[in-house]
Amino acid sequence: MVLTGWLSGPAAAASTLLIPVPEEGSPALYSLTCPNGLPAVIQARPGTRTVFAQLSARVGSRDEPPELAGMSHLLEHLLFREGQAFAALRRVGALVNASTDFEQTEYHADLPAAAFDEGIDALAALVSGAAFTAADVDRERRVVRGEAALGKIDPAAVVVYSVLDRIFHGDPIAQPVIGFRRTLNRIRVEDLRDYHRRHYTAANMFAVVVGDVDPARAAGRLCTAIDSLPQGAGTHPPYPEPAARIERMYQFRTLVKQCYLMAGSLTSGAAAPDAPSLELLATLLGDGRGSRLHRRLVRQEAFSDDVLAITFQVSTAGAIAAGLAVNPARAKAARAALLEEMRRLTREPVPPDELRAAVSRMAGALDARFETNEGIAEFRARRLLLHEPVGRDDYLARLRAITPEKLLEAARRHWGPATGESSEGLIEIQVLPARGFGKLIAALRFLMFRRL
Amino acid sequence: MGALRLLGSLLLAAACCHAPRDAVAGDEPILDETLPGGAALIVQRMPAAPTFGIALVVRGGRAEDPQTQYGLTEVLSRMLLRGSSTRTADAQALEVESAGASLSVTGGVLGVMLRASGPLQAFDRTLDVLLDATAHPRLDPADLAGEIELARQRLRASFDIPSTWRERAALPLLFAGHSLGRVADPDHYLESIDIAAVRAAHTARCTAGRMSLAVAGDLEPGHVRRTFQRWLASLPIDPGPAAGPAAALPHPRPLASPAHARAKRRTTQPELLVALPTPGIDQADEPAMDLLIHILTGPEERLALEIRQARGWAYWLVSMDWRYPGAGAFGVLTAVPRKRLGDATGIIVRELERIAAEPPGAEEVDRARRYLLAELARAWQRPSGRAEAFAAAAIRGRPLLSYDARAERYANVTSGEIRDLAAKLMAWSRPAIVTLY
Repeated sequence: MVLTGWLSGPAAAASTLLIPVPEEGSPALYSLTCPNGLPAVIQARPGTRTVFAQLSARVGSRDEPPELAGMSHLLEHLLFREGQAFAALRRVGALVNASTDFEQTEYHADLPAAAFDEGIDALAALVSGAAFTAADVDRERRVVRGEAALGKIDPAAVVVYSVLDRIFHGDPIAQPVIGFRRTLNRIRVEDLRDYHRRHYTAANMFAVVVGDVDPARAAGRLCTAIDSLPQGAGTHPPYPEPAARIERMYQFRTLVKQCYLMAGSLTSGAAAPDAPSLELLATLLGDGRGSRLHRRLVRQEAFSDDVLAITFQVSTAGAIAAGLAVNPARAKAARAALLEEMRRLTREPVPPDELRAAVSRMAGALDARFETNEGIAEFRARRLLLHEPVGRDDYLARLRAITPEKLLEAARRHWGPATGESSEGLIEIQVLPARGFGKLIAALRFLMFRRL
Repeated sequence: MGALRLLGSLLLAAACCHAPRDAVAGDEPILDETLPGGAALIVQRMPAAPTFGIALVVRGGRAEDPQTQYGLTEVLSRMLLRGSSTRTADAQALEVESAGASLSVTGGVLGVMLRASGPLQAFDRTLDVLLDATAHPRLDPADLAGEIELARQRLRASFDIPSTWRERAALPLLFAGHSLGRVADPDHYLESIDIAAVRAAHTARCTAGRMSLAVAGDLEPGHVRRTFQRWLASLPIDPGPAAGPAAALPHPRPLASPAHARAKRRTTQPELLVALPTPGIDQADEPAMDLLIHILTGPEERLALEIRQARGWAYWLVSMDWRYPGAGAFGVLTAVPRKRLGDATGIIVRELERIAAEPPGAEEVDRARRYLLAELARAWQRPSGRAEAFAAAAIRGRPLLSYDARAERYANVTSGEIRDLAAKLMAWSRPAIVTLY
């Protein structure tokens, strides 16, 4: 009855659309579509004292023309700083942030529960308006250059720029999300406003709200807050699979003292059927003290405890890789051990108990994410972005259905059959210390890179 | 339409309001007791929480490392997860991780902390592995050689990161002649540490009287107590001194005038640190210190507005906030273009002087309170966040505070107290200014 006091037109309409989403342990999880077409997920977690709200646009660096690389991220900076809305979020004590990647730009606020109404209004106002001026654009351009400098602080970062460009040359996925100095300088206020108009529409965005809220009331407030967003023509079409030109070895000599070795392969992205198997392979290899690389490279051989194995997946492209930082004197032996451990996965099925342990590690990591409103919201937002069921039961069921044979098949598909000493199927990236005259060349490259 | 809306709302109210109280609803009382032998046990129940958090802190950290054995704490802490008398390192990892839990250890200034978290059903076995690792580590010389090589490799790899050099320039300046000012010498790091030193450190430090076990989750405190007591009884080592916080560190030497240092390193991002050593922060001043730091360096607060928002010089700006009994540091770290280093230094010093002279406005204090409480609420959603906060408070000799108690402490801080604290710190020492470019 209390609800009727404030529900207005769009809010009331939205309320009727709340659809329970079944998920073990989450009795108050709902999906809905606001009257203007914005899809949303709302989960009530009473007693958590905060509400995590996220608004995402399906737009990122893959949507940018090459000459305006960095535009999605620059726009994120400008919207995020919008005067009144941002001030309102500060006033209520919200923890606010935003991020841009290849296919998504998201804005979020962890709000004190009592300030949800004011906070969601402000967050919606943040993404709805494009009231920035040319002076704002100039200021944020300077800030973004500072952010770009942060990304280049690690000399090994040059690799990311170079390798992506060499593999996906000509495709927007080869561009750094943050853009280049020259492309940032080219972006005008009108470009940004037009970009905002085209991509920040209800049909091309989604929302996730998790926390100490009443779901019906939160749904109403959310839909009212974002009601000014134009409906838009529709959701983003699937991204094409980028054409890749692969070399087996990418080697760089630069101003580092250690060797950074990495091996892996490209994947078909998060939408591919084997994406869960690849996540599991990465876990088996490098996640936790019981993982293969930790046991072999860290505990047995003491090469380095700076070891990692990761998957990075956007919808239609991705990579799975493992690597370490190692003393140059031991780099050859470390490389051999790394490749051997990866190839072993293409030769032998993983023993069932090791597989079960890795699945448990992944499920445990998800349990840990699900402790906070933020962790839950991030998980569900990622699933929405990929048009996958937002509940974790589906994710866990897919994970638990993976057999040793499926893993072997996935490893073979991506890393190829192991043949003798060849690392066939694996792509390697090495960042090595420059020596002698090479140091001068590397220093010059560094200076150029800094200006990118 | 009005009637339909009312009907819809009523249906929704019935459909949507059945969510049970969540795991983190309200705060249960914090159980805090000293067990026979001197160990402290802290438990907070989180009804219906599907996960647990454990933090076991053992008093005795880097500050206790002898001058010639810098790094001993780090090596000792890592050796704890190299296997025990009954489990290999692989078995430790498998037992914990196959249940979906995780276990890690870090060596800090005041002590060694073992942390574990995971699904509730993994609690017993994880606690058992954690306690076994602490009490009965294998401490094998071959493993020690491996850990020393790994530690040296970490040090070498850190030299590829420019910020490392800023830190190595800053610490000796802020803490001259103090244990907090030590930095590892790459040519001799850990060379005087042998297995006898590690075993001696373990015997001296891993005693019941030096331990505090903090646990949060949907756990019955009596069960946790019984498990801990049973394990304490099996300890083959002396109970040691009575429980209590870490001994206060000696005060660092205040800087009589601003001190400068520059770390020369090729970097795309010049860095600036303006910080002053402190003689520690009194318990009564802790909430004011939290607010002071947020007002100065919080996102979109004074310095971020000046340096980032108004001028677009910096992408990030954070605080340096070291608080140990008897010693610490307080300051601002940021990265600005090289040609702005001088101007940014001036802005930071002016803001430090301003807050030491004028009480902050009521609105910014209020905003800081709200922000800190939202941050705390987020940490409080995690059982491991609570367990670690309690263990850290125990080793620092601070009271164990619930969320509501913390909120009350923030509410009671006045603007004048924030100014007075800033003035006290500024009067005690002049700042050190360290650049990297």
